[in-house]
Amino acid sequence: MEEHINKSQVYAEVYAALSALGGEYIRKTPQKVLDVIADRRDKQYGQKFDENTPLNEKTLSKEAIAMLASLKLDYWCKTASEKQTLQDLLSLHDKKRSKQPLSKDNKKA
Amino acid sequence: MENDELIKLPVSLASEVVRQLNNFHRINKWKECCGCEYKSGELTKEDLEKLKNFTFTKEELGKIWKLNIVNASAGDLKNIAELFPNLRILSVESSSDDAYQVPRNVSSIGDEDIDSIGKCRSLENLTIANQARITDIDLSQLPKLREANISNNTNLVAISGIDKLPELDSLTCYGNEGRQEIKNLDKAIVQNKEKLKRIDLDVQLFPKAIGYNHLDGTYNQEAMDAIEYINGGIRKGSSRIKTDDKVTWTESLNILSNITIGTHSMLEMHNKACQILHEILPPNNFSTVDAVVAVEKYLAENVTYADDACNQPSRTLGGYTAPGRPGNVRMMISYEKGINGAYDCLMHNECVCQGYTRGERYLLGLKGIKTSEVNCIGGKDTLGLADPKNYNDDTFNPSLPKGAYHSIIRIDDYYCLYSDPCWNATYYQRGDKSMPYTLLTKEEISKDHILSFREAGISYNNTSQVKRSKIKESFEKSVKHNALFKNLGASDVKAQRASLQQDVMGIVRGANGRTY
Repeated sequence: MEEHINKSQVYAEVYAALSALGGEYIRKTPQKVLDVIADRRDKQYGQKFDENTPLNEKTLSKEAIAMLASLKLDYWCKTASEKQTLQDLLSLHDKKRSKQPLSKDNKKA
Repeated sequence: MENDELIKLPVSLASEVVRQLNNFHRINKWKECCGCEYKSGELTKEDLEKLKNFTFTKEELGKIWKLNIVNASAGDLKNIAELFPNLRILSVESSSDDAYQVPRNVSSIGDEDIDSIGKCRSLENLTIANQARITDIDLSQLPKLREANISNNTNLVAISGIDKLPELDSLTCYGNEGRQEIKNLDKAIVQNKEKLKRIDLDVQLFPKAIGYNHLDGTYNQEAMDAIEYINGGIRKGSSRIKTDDKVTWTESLNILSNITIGTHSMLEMHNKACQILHEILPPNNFSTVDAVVAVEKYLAENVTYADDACNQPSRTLGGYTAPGRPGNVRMMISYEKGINGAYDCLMHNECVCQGYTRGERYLLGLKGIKTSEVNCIGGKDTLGLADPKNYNDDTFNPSLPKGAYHSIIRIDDYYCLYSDPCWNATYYQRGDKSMPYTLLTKEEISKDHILSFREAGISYNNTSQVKRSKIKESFEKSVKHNALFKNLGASDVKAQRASLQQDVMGIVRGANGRTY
């Protein structure tokens, strides 16, 4: 999903994701973080994420997915190697981005 | 549909149509279809098999103006609007208990059926009771509707169109899903105040009936005036079931019995609830958790368990056996004292488990926090009624323990975590002030609570239940194996982490001075 959404909508998506992930993930997340997500979410917007909505790259914004990744790195990874695997994946993508050739339009410019 | 077409009906519908044709139109379908005498009373399995093959003409169905359908299944009524164009009175009821009966044995129509019922434009009187698989009802296309009775539908989330019923003179609505949304309820009461002769609503619906605004505590004065007008004034002492109030407030205990209070008592309770919240919470700048903790602490400090209720006949008026439950379970119910209700919890400071749950629900509801009442049984959950795998297993046949049937609360607005305000209060009053049963995950609460089938994901049909489980499973996998994060860079994550941390720090340093 490429469209830009505001912060309370990001929280609404992360809230829906956390609710779907359930107990283990909620328990590992500090309460103050859970509070921010629950209390600052856009409840109206959140209604589009009912239990029948698949949660994936198409339905969740990039911002929400990135926030979920940060929660995984900070609180959910069980082992150092699990954390390292995700960090490597993220770094790899950053590297790919920086090596990407300029687009045709940019070349023309 | 051709005029001479012969139409077969589902058994639940066919048996009622046969009865109506015989009673009101002297048409004996048993004789016509089987050559036998008309059968009244309870039908045998063989009779029901025969009914499957009965056929009806369109003309015969057009004669039907009243149907009383019991224990119908999803899909049975999906064509009711087209089949019965002259239907004026419809009642759809079920005797099953979706909390403790295995899902395959629960009788209920589904959303497809309720959609069709919503198009029966001749309907004047509609009862929909104890249908566990319906989630919303739209009444807007029933312009002739005079009486609506929608009660004990445990998954019914939304009722709409109530403000588009100019003829409505009686509205009964209680015991539906905890988060029941009746759109424009206050508006409908104001609009129909001259027509409405009888209103019986769920206690938890009172704030909606007066258009209460949980943000600033204001309410719709016109709606309150209309309630008083319909009621013929608000009389002091109009508290219990024997009231002659025209507007009453009900809490459903099960499909057979209720606690009902008058409007004066409802107002008393509402005002006390507002006062309690004023004392235990700041007007704003509090989180959902602050509210839950404050309310549960209030209940623990002020409300005692009505231990004697089980032993005093005057308070219990005889135990009863609920459908689908072990025969010797004595429920702690008092029609007189209402110890299972929010009123006794908040006004008398004494109740049993369900009273704690309902008192907490009312208080949190006034702050706009959505919750649900959860049925359970005390003890370690070794049965797995709430496990989606068992929910969908047609061979699952658990033997329910004879333990204490219990009630707790689910905070839907906070990750669907569970609290047991009753057990918290019991511990608290014995000196353990740790409130150990506050905001627990399903896994945690299941250590000593056997959650009912309703907690398996609450659904109207098994197909969507499976679909939901698969959605959750696939999402968890994509998080676990990083598939969800494959197009992210470290910089994206860093930006979102910073944004979240900023808000977390903002809350820690919040104006109300609370720390976490």
